[in-house]
Amino acid sequence: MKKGFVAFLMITVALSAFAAGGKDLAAKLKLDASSKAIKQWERIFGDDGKMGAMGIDKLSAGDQDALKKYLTSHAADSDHPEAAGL
Amino acid sequence: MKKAILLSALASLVVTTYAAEPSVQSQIDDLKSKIEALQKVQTSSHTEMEDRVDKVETASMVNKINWGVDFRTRVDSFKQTAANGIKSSNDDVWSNRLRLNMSSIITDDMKFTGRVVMYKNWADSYAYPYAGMDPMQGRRPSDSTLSVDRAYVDWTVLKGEVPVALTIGRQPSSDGPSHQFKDNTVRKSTYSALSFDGGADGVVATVGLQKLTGIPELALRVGYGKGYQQNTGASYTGAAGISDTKVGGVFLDAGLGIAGSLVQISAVKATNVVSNTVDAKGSTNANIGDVSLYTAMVEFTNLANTNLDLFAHYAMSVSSPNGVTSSYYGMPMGLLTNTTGDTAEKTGHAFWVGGRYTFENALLNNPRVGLEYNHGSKNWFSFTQGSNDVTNKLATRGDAVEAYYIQPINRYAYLRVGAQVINYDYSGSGMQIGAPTAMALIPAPNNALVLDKLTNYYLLFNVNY
Repeated sequence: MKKGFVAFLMITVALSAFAAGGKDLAAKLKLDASSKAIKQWERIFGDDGKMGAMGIDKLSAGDQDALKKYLTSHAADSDHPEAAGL
Repeated sequence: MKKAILLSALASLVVTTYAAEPSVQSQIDDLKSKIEALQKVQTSSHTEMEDRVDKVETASMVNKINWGVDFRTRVDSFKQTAANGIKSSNDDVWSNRLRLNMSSIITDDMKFTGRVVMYKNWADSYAYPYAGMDPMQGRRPSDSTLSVDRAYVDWTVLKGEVPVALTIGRQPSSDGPSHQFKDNTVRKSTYSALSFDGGADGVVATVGLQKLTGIPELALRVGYGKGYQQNTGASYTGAAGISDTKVGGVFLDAGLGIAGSLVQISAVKATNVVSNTVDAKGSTNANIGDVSLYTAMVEFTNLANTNLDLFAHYAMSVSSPNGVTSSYYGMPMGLLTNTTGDTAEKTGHAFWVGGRYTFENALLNNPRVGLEYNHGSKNWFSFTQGSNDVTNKLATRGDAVEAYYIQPINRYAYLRVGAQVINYDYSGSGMQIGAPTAMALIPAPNNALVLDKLTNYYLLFNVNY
């Protein structure tokens, strides 16, 4: 049982090591997800001018998707995580 | 504003250069008057805008609580087999659950979170057995009254390199990791749901260690609460002869540097656990021993951008009866024992693994499928009496499998259809009292009251916004 648990942990960590997250991209561009509501972020991603002003247009399509997913899922009116001290 | 200044400067320049020419002069005068008119309009519109923003700001300051609605209607089809082989079923048990979520930023370093809940079966005000008990309030079908499921203040006492926050009140201790996958939401509690699920009052100190160690999202939590407090009734001091159940725990959370990852290890000890027994004369409640729980878990959301979520939890429970038993309608009940004087330690184990996959299909709003499996040994005992759903499957002394399909309707609403199949190896899953007994060894007529197998097919509609 314990060996299985450790093996699971190692495999998943190895798989994840190459994944780029929207959180990192947001931090790089200094975008605070909770500063806007979901619809406001969606408007930004539908406006080339606004994307350009925030530096989003320079990202690859994949990174833009990841960033949009992160920003909308952590927006001011999104479903927020709850735990003590969060 | 900048434009106005620029125009004004240009106008002055023109005045200086062409002052001698009358036709140019009149044009300049005309231009100046237009600029002045424009400035007046701009000032007025700026004041109007400021007034409007003030109104919005005032409204947001006066509306101290942000409200959210989480509503669920579900139908369950239960089929069960008792230890004596008798089968029974109820094809459609309908229920409604309303959760009103509250949040409020009090100051920069203090915020409030709360939730009130109504949870009832249709056309029924009958309370589920033990629904009034503290961890289960609002978490088991009862009547249409509202219960406070959580109400706590997060207070950041220290900022800086090692921030410290206190969480005071009725804690975020239910529907914890990794139930969020099935519930199509995000993390909703501090603790691994394999070991702890339900309402709980207490104080938790969270020490942020990320900046100090460089380990992502590393946090140490120390919690204190009570599982039972003997001060009820007309007395300030409570009845003599029974001690409070005190619960202390240490939790270490960390990310693995990967978005959506969580690792947690914890140790929790509850002292002077009570039996909560009754007989024909009334309460026979007694302190029956101590329980320790050791848990480790890891979970990944959208692992390596594959749309796959995975989790694994493992826990060990160590129950130490103190030799005391109390009468449950004549039957002696101690901590995982029926023998008065039994002080032998009883160790149980459990694990819970599962995953969820999201299909990228815009036409179907990206539906999801999930599969979960958990196993508990003979002496497995956890604090999950207020569990995520009524079957309390993670307390099973045996095996439980659940498969589900989530069909999103829009950003806020979804349907979930699923099946749970639970095979109990031993009696008393989720109960702290009585010796767990293999199904075949339970004598009649008691074997008619003990579940051997339970199947639940369900369909639910949930909207959360």
